[in-house]
Amino acid sequence: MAQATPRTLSASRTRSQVIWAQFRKHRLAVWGARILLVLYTMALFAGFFSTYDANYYETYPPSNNHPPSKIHFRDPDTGAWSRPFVYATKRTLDELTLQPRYIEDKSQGKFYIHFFVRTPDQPYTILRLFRGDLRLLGVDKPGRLFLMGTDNFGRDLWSRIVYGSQVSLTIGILASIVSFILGLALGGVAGFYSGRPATMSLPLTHLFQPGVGARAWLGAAVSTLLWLAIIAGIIAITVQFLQVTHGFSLLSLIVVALAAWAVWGIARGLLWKPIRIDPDDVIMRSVEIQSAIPDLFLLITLRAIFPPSIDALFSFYLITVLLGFIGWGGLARIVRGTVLSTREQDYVTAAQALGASDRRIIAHHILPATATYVIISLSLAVPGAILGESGLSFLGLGIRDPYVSWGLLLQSAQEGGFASFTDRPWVLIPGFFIVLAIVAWNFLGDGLRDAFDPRKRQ
Amino acid sequence: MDDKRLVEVSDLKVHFFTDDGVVKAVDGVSFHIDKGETLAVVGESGSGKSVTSLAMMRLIPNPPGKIVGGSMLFRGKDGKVKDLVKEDEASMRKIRGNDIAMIFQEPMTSLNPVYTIGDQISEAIVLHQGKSKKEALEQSAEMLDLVGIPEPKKRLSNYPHQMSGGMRQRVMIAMALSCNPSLLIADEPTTALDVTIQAQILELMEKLQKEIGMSILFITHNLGVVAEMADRVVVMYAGRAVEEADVTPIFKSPLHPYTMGLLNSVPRLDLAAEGKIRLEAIPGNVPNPLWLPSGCAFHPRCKYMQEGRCTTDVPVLEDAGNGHMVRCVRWSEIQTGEGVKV
Ligand SMILES: Nc1ncnc2c1ncn2[C@@H]1O[C@H](COP(=O)(O)OP(=O)(O)OP(=O)(O)O)[C@@H](O)[C@H]1O
Ligand code: SF4
Ligand SMILES: [Mg+2]
Repeated sequence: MAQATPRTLSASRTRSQVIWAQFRKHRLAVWGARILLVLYTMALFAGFFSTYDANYYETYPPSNNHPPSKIHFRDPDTGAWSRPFVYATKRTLDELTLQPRYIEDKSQGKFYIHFFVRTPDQPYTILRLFRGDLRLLGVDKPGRLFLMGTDNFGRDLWSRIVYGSQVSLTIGILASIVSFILGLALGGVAGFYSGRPATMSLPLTHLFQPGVGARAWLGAAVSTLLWLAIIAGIIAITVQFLQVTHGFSLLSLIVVALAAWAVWGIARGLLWKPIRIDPDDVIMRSVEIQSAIPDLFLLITLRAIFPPSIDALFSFYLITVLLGFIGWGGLARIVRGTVLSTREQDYVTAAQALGASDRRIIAHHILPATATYVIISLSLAVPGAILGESGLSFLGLGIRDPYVSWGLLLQSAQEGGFASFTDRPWVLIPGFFIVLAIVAWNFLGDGLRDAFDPRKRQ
Repeated sequence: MDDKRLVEVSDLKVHFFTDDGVVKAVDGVSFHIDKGETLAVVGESGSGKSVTSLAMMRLIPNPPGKIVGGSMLFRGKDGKVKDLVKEDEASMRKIRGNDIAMIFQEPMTSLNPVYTIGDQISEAIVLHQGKSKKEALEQSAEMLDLVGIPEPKKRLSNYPHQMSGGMRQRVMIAMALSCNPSLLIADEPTTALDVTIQAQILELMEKLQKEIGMSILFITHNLGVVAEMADRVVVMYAGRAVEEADVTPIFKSPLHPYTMGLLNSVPRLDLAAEGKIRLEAIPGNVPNPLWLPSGCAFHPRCKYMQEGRCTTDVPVLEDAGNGHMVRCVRWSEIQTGEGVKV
């Protein structure tokens, strides 16, 4: 009866309304959501918001390491307010450091900043579906508008940041989706089959018992072959190890002992004691091992398996999958826990009693129960993936030209050594965008967690 | 198997292999259910009633549980007799919900809170009858009407939390009966409900049983409910059937001391009115299933216990005439009163 009161009180509002109201109370989360909305709009319409193509630069006049263009709002002669305009610039070299210096060249006159300019020489597409060449801002040639300066080729940094957001922001989401699929599938299996080990071999001694049919024989033959292959593999690796290492040491002894132990275990399984493997054990132990290795270290190691100079597009997909692979463990843990508690629920037994299959019960009754946790942990996983991408690209192992990402921009920023930060501080601006995106995602995730948490509700 | 038989369970053994040892939750139980009949299974908590019913559905959690022996013959809707112990999982899935349906004790938690009533009733219909979702929903509305829920069409889109316990148990019954099962297993279906609702639900079950012609395996510890519902009764103690008979002999002339104890521990209004209150609890507790007493498992609590006989021999189930079965070495002595010290 105690439950009756809140039920009638909240009857006028649906569950999603309650969650939405709770979410809106978390001001930082609302701000996070707004910032992300702006950032993702910018990424979607990158061509429109950028002033140039990401890889566009002119060899003459040179514009490498150009500082942000000075935008004038007053006519320098009369001092009167005017439409914003820029001057063309002329490059000189600093005699001491040989760094380019740019001075305004007023002789070429003013270049007013126009809205909605067309750049037929630099077309773009939106989602590869719609073509366009309309850009929000621009100046007439030969004037140039560098809102945030240029890199050492003379490419416009603002445009590169806008295009880079496409990679940096989507890779976070794509990687989370990969984690999501892995985590949900493996966590679900671990939880549902926890404590119900699968028999992975049929020993010889069991085969000759009555009631063992032809199918069992076939299965036994296949699994025996597989296990024999594993034994062969173990022996091969051990022998190789002994050949490669010089002399016989304690380490060799340990390796040989381990190999012998594994081979003995399998042999016993093939002869008289069935090998039973609990999927929960296998999956959860791998999660634990994986989480014991620092993420960035694991990322770099995994990346090192592939050659450094792979196709740029392939490396984009590779990074996505690797980042997703790093993140699935945490999700799998959450899913497993929820599944473990849900599978004991009466309604699961009731569904079984109606004749529902395991697959149907997992998909229909158990996984939906994890939805809340999954949404939250996904939104908290995205910033980690964004940061991971930046880290990899910063180390030169991630996104490569002609693609742009914020991490890649930071990497090219540090190419000039420490001097680049003092000489041309604008190259650090991409770092600001990384921080902004990560903070916004974290606030959003926080807000979602609170919104779904019934204890936070009044 | 006899033509009128629906179920014949013989020597069923279900053991749980736990870390502490083997729990013999069901240890050699035999009974049968005829078509259209209601068999009640009574016994104290932990006597193995639920395990027996889950075993018939082959829903014993494995591990730790396992059906280690016996057979459960069942006549399917197609007329074929199958041994449920030997069926494989795929054909068990076809039997569950379609041939044998089950309702549970807790209507509050037996429905999934995230799906509508309509979704949940139509689940079994879609699974077993291959109907479209729309047809299934129509049939679900008919089922809700059948179990006496007003405005069934509207109720289809309700969520479980919008219904009372009694209503939900009606929904559970609608779900269970949606595929016309020949056997309904009801595991304490009214224990969680208050008394007036209990009566309504029992009435509903009796009415539906007459209409559909199914058999019911009714599990309860409420002897009042047994008297109202059952045709025959099996009394269980510590994983064994200790007495089995038609419902009248069980109440009028119980043979097993445990059954007598059960009957004496029920408050009776008629006796209370005459001022003859003889409420006696059975002394002691249900034995720990890991350490069952030797001989007759009931002997530490039995007032007719005789050292030497009851403590050593496991009594067999004997026929006391007219199919009244009892598992007690002293039942005839107790009946005639000879040599019994009380
Ligand atoms: N999953 C399990 N693991 C171990 N032992 C179990 C398990 N399920 C049931 N048992 C044991 O089986 C025995 C019988 O339990 P069962 O649930 O059938 O009792 P019951 O007669 O239905 O009692 P109640 O009236 O309380 O429902 C109990 O002793 C219990 O400890
Ligand atoms: S066998 Fe002995 S202990 Fe068991 S019920 Fe009969 S009299 Fe009591
Ligand atoms: Mg029970």
